[in-house]
Amino acid sequence: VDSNPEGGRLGRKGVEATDLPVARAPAPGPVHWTRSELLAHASHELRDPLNTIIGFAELMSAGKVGSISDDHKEYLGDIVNSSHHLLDVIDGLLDIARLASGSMEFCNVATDPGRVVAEVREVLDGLASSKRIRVDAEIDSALAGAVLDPSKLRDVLRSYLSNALKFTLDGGHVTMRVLRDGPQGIRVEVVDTGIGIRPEDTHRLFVEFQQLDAGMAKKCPGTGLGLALTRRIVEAQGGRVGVRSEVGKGSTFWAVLPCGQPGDTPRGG
Amino acid sequence: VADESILVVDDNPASLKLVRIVLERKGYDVRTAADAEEALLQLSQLKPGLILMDVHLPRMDGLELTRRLKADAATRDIVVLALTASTTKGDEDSAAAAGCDGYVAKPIDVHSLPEVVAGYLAARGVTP
Repeated sequence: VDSNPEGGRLGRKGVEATDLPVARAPAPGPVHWTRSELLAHASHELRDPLNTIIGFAELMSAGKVGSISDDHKEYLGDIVNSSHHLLDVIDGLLDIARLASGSMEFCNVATDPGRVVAEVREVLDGLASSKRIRVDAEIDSALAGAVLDPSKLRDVLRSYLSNALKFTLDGGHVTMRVLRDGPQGIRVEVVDTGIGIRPEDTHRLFVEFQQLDAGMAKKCPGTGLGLALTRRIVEAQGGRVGVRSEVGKGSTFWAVLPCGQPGDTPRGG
Repeated sequence: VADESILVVDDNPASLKLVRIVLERKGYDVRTAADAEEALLQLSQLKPGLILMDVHLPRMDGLELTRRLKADAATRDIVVLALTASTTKGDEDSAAAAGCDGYVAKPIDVHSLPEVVAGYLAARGVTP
């Protein structure tokens, strides 16, 4: 066995070394996330895995990584659809959390409501056509240039229109209206010839995860968050929402949003 | 499609694999890196035409890496597309401010991603 003549000295050095005062890094304090940072992280952690789930399922479903049977194609389609549904629920819940914590950002700019309505109609044109539902628009042209957040207006219109299309029978009719509401407001209405809502049910409409018509909801499953989120987005801007409805005749969902006059220039602080 | 090379930077191995497969099918020479350090190592050996850069990376994030690449004459002309699963408003703006040439949201659309990439490469003057 080789003995190390330096061993003792090394050992002593070792002891000395441990006796020396050690320069320590300051103890790390607890990590404090702001709510909006926490939500940004949660958003990433929840949505990132869905990227690969949806991506690989779509690749396989399209037969791009080898041929698949009809059954496999159907089941992969189920994975894709369920994943997109989960993504919608996650996005809805994150938006609700942002609104509740006050970290939702609003960006008011000169907006042409007519253009926003046209965009929303186009996005939902497939659903309308498949049910042969005519969608008309009535826009007060004097509102072009009104100062509001166009993406939030789009969210409201999209939520109302998709809801109207879902609960209107084939061959029905939907009208989207954008009107002035006093000097500082814009009124949005979506009128349908759908199944209508019983008066005793209307209080559940704008609440999370409340589906009034289970049968209809099964045919066109939604996230159960659309109208609740709409109410929160509108109320966060100081606006209000509501509905008028008659069973068997149809419903009118409305929202009033504060807006600046055309020509008002939003000035950043 | 010629063998235009693309570097994908993402700390999620399954994401890297997905993007690599989608782009390799179109004939791109795809390299991958799991963090900024690996990306810099790859870049010292090969200059890709385009980088798909995940914004969320451990240690140095994708935006900081982009700022460095855009500040360096040797790498400035590489097209950088930010890739992120976050939906926080302003992400697109901060990507642009860091020097990213474009923005791809996750979940990526596996059918249109190759066209998006080809579009950016064509706009730069190189046809894949």
